[in-house]
Amino acid sequence: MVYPRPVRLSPGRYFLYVAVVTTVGFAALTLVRPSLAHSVKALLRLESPPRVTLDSFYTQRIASLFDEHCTGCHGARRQKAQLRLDSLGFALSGGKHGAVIRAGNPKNSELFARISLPSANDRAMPPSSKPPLSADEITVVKLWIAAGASGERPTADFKDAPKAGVKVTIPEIDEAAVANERAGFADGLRVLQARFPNVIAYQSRGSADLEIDAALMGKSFGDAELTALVALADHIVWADFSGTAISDSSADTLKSMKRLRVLRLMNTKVTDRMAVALASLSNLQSVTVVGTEIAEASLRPLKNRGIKIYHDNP
Amino acid sequence: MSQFDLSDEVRRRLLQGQTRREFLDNCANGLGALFLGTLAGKSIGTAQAATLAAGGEPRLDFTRDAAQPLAQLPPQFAAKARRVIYLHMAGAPSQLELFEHKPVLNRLDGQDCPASFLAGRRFAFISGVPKLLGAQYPFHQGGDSGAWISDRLPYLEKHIDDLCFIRSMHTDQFNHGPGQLLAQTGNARLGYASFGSWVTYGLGTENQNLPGFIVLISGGKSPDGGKQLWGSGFLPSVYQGVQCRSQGEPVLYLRNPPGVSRALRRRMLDIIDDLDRQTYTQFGNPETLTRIAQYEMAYRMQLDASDAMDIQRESTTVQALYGATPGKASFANNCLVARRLAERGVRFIQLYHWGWDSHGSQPSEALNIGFVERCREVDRPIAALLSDLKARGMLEDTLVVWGAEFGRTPMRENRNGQQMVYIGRDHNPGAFTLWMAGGGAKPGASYGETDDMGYEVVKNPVEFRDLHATMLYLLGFDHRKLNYPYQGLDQKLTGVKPARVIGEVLA
Repeated sequence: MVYPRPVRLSPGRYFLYVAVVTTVGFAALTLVRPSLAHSVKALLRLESPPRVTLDSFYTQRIASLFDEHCTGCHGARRQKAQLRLDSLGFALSGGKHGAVIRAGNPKNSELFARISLPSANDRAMPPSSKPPLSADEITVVKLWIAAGASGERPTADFKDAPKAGVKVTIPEIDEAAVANERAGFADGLRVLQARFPNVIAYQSRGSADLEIDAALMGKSFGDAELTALVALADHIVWADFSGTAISDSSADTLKSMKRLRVLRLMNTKVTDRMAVALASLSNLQSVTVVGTEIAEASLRPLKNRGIKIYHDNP
Repeated sequence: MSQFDLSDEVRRRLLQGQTRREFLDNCANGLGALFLGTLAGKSIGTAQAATLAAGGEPRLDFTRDAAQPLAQLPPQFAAKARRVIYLHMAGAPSQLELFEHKPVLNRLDGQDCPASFLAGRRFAFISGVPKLLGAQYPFHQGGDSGAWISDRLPYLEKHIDDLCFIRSMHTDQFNHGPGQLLAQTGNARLGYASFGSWVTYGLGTENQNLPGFIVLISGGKSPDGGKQLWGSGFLPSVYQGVQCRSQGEPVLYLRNPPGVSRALRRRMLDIIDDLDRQTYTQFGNPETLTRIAQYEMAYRMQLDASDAMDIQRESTTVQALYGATPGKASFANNCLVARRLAERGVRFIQLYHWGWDSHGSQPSEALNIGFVERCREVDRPIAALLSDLKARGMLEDTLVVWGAEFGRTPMRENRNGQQMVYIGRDHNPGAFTLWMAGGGAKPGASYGETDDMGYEVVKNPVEFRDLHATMLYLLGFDHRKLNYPYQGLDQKLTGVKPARVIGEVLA
């Protein structure tokens, strides 16, 4: 049996070979992966990254739009068609099939062509399973490319751009934090909820804030019952005592509910004394005193603070 | 029959009593219970014990004690709206006679409709080349918002700055039944859960002595979509809407018959309850639990429902404000009842008015006759409802929605290609107007635009699923999270197509 003679290399030569293979491989990789090429060039200072300013139209309107509609597939996590849109540099360096943005020329920009296709078209972006861009959003992209796809031109340069849509955010629930906060008064709450069924509820799954709706209990809910809720005072943000038997004697109890934002006292026996007490609640936003003896004048301090007052004489 | 045959028969019947779905459900729960060793008893809510949805995201838990299927649950996040009053104008009122001011259309009144409007379009009745029809009533701008409104709604106009218009509603349904189903259940086909059912499923209700979802019809014709419009679909039937009668007793046979005391009724219910529980242990059908809950609710309603529905308890001044006449079935009465129900913690109140199908084929359906009456019937009561809610601070957290299943064409209807005696318009799914008020909707706002004829949407189109997503957002839910596993899918009111919360209409 004949074995090929092992090739003997000097350490210097071995190092040279490895260096050449690595460089060639890397160069080949950057050719097929434009976003990588862009990163490498930026790293080697061969190409200066496009300047992006905070008040630019790009930052204000385009980046967030790409973020909402595009970067799920064309971003840091996934790079479909080897395209990334999570920075201006990446966006301008294009994808597998070359540049997708031709500054000043939206008609010849692949990115614009794709987003303006009808959603039934196979080549339309975003794909039909994802929410499409609105007509306004498409216009915004068109105007931006036409104006040079710049990262610096300020929003003031885009007077004709449709106004930005209102962004709707879904608050995240931090379950551990909520559970922790609720644990502090859970036992007391359980006892009170058993005593007053359907009266005390959490405002949402994401908070430990409480809402009290005693209106359904009518006259069977009075000052004594309200006093029982004092243990929860720090957590109550919304309360409706309309039609209950509470009176001015509850003024101090209500004063202890410092976080109250909405308070309804419709058709109760409270008087001006209560109105004075309410002045110390700094978070109040809305108070209903329809059907009470409270004089309009005694509510003026509240009204002056911008609190909405619902009174018999509006 | 021998002894053996009899026991065989009993076993056969027992097996027949259980549906395939229940059997599988019980298997899953049974095995799950064995595995986890924690699941005690049976509960209404999400049928599967899984807490992770298909995407791996945490699922909201809607599980409740089976004895209290309507128990309150907090919303996902702090809600702007605590309850909804939905005013559905069945038949579809003409937006072009109420809120959509189109000077170009008025100028072209009487001219032949351009061919581009007709190509490839399907109409309910229009045939040949119809004439364009300008607004039948003068328009002017109202309030500080300057929104256009016709002279048909003078009372509502006083609230125009409280309203938030969506002018770019559109739908793919051009017949009333499916259109109404789409508007109310998110799907044009039967079998889906209505908006009110989803909301009572998601949030339960504050007042355990009244249904959480109440439907009132102002006499006359019932909506074409039928009772499915407030059906619970695949949700447990305890979440379906309860239709109360608009005339006479709100709920039939609610009162004890002569000679039956409340104590006797209680004893009777206890025995029925006992039998039902035995049946449930035997067959495991969750609908039996619904039945028990309904009997209990009816018992509690005996005290509260009559009071809530009795508008005679309101002062004559208030009655006059609404234009209500006790004892008569009317939209005005229902608006007043709606306010009383809202005060009593009813979660979802749905009012159907009828007769808006202004084809012009008969006087009652003519824009120049019946339509005038319809406007008069709703104008004052809606304004009074808004005033009343506003005066009490309740408009802050009550979402009022006014709308229909579609709109009407800018062309005059010409059945069989003939000019008709009365003036009417055909169905137009392409564009219509809807408004919301209170509950976190942006007052004085206007969203979306239609073309110069009010025929099609040209800017910011809104589908019913977008509207539903937006309403659910105001009620404290991400529409993707309010779901119920059924047929292998996390069912949602907004379906599987992408829906958008319209940020522009949020206050």
